[in-house]
Amino acid sequence: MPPHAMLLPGTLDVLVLKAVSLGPLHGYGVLLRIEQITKGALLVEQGALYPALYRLEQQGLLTTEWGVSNNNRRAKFYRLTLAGRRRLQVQRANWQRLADAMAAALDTRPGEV
Amino acid sequence: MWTHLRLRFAALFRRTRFEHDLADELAFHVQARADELERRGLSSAAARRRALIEFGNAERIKEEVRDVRVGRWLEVLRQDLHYATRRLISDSLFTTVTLATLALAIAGNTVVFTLVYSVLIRPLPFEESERLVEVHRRVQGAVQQSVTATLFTFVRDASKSFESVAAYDVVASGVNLTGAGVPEHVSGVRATPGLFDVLRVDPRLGRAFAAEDAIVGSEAVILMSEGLWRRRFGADPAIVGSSLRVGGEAHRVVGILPEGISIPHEVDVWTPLRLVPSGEDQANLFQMVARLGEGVSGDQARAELGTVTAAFRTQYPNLLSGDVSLELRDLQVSMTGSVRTPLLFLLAAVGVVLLIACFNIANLTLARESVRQVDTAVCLALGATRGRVMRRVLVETGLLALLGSVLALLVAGTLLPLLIRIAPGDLPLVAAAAVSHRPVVLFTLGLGLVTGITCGVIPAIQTGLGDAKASLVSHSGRVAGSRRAQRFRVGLAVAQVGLALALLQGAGLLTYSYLLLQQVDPGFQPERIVSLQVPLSGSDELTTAGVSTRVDEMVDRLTALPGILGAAAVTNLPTEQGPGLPFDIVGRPDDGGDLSGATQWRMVSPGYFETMEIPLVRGRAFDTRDRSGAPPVIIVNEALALQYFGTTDVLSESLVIGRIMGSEFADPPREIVGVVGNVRELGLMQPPPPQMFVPFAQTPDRYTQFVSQVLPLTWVVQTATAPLGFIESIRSEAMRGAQQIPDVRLLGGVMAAAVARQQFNVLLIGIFSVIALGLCSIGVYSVAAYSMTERRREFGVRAALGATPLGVLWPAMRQTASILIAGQLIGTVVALGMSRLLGSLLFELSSMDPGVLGTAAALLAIVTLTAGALPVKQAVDAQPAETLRED
Repeated sequence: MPPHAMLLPGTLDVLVLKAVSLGPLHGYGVLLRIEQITKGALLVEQGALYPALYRLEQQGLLTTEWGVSNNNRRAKFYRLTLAGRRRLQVQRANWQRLADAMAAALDTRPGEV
Repeated sequence: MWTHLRLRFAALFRRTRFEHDLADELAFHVQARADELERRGLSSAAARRRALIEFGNAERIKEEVRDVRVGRWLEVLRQDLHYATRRLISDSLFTTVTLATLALAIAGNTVVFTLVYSVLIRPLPFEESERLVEVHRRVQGAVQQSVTATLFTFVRDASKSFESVAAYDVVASGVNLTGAGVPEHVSGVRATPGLFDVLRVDPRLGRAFAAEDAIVGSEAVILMSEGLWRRRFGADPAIVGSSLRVGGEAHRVVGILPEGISIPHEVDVWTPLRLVPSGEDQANLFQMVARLGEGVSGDQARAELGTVTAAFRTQYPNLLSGDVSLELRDLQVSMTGSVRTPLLFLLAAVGVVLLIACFNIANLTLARESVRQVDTAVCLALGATRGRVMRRVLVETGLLALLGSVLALLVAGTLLPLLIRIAPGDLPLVAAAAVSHRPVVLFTLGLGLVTGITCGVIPAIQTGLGDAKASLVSHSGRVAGSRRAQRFRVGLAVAQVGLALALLQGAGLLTYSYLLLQQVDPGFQPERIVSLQVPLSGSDELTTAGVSTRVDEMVDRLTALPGILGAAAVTNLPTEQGPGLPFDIVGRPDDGGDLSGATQWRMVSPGYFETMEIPLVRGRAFDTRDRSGAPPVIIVNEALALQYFGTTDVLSESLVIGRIMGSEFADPPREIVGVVGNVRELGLMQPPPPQMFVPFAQTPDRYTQFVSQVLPLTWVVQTATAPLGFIESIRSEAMRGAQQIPDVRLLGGVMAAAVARQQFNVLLIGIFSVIALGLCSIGVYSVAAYSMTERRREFGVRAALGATPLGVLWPAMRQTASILIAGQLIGTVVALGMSRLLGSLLFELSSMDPGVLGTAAALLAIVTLTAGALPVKQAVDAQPAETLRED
């Protein structure tokens, strides 16, 4: 297993949004999906997941629906709203900018300053 | 749309549902993990254990989720409040008008509720006051009578249900406090020593009465109230043990009693009641109160009372007639029962006024919201939920209403003393009423909250249903939503009309009933009568000769005064409680007469009937030949003659009074020499009772004695002109050479006091109705005005095309007319529901009286149609060219 980094505060929300954007999921499914899409590099603390899900729902970025899981049990599914989708786009752009800036900064060679 | 809204509201309040769902969701998660672990090879039990450990503390996670939820909710609320405050401050006209309306309307409710609370709800200020009861006699058919000394003593000794028992007797016209300063008329109560055990009251200073004080012949003692002690004696502790002249007799002050223990009114002094149980004395009546023993219930006590009554009948076969039983009632209910219905009715009425005001505010809010339609549409488009938008409206009205209710508390605090001042004097327990009691404050704030929701619910729904796209696209303000808003407005107006009708009808019935009551012929002429009462003191002679001389002497002195047409003496004034005695009819040994003691008995001096202008139906009135030693005579009223003889032709029949009271009360047979008209002795609302009159001079000593112990000497004086101007001269004449301070009153005032309650009700309901009518007409006006604005172009066109004003009027008024009709239908239904409640307050008037109901409906119709016609007139008056030019 590749080394995993600790989750920076605030990143959980955007990861949840991304996970759900790929298709409606229940809580456990979100956990698995995040593990999948980060290729195991980021670990989600189980205790933080549900408060985050509820927070995002309250903010109107997620909407919920009770449904049946693939082993026939009753589960609550989360889906992205329009606002959620927009937020995800914004966050993605922010992260990209941040990553580019950090990369540029950290790659600066002595002679380029 | 509606489903969505319903779900939203449901979600806001379903906390248990939320908890349930959360638990389910977390359980699913754990189970899913366990399943995966099982798939990876762990045993079922080990997988589950591992999954639980990995998940961590479920309770803590739940707590955090709950916090997210609450935190969000509080945050949203804070935002809404901030937004609402800004809006209210910017729209200051609306805010001021609404705040003022709400403050006044809620204040009205607060004030009436304060009365309701202080009188009906708040327990009496005694320890465990729910264990206090009152015992009285109940004659079948609802007449209630106090108990006699014999009955009291018997019940007290035979009952085991009571921890303590007492009797008391309110001295009718007060007693005189003389010596040590200005003579003063104070209110007094005679009570057995047990009273302070029943009430569980400890004196502030000194001691209460002891058993010895109630023994005939023991030293005269007196207890003073704290109020009198502070007021007159400057709270000087040395007063205890000193002597006071009360009622002309010296009493030693043995203690000071704390404030607030007056039953049922403020009392200044207490003297011991010395009961002499005697089979003969059936006319001295007392209030009997008791405290239920430990663990004894009201029903148990009642059951025992039944047995005791039977035992009493066995021992004293003649003293309790068959149709009389003993009744036990909770003391507070007993004291306040008669004002319960009117007070509750007042509360309902003022509540109706508030409701009508709420609808007006809802209307105003609807108008404001429709102006902001674009605003709301933008919010919705940006992603706000409809629930959120609706909540904002409710927060705004809720905030207004809460502020209004705080203001209302202040307003009510000022109004309450005014209301107490005009309230009838015999309203029990009002002295301690105050707005600052916690239940009153809670009620007011709670009412504010409910009001806020009521005002806001319809505008909120209207806003929530708004179509975002449509209002953004259109520009002339004519949107589909405003049609719906108009429908709401019409609905509100209909409700207002309905409520106003119900209130008007109630007011009309009460007013008419009061007028009928005023027109009741009391049987005499109170207008120009001044009454004079002088309580007898211990040192006064209580023989007939002595009293009769005194009475005649005063009559002579009074008649000699200028402007006095006549004067006479009587045992007591009409409508004030007087003696009733049993009698037999001579010649009908077992059957004739009234042994129950309910027949009213009066001693009068010659000239009484002339002075009071009581008509003489047959025979003659008393005159100077009816003196002591002359043949004993009696005069009866029509009611007695008809009830016991079937005809008024009863002259030369004879009656014997008080035979069953024993030899002490022996009275010779008296010949009926006259029949007089009926007098409403028991009050204007009660039918006139049978009554008998005997001359002062011919009464046996024993009768004079027993009357004088309880009643003052009373004279009535007829003046030639307005009686007010004669009070001083009569008073000074009465005080000449006397030690007592006379109580001089206008009989007209006494009669007015008898209808004081009805007057109070009518006054308040009248005020409420007028306010309701005003608010209602504002509501109707605004609905009509709005629809006029919509249709101004239409009317401009009509007028330009030459339509007459009348031709324009009808289509315009159609809406108002339909509001009126619908509202009146609703109002009639409400009134029907109220009619039973109202019936008990009315005097000789059916609560469905068509004349009154019709008048109320007509009045409402006139006001409503006028309010609806005003905007039409304004629209018609506008120049057609102008309206056509505007877009």
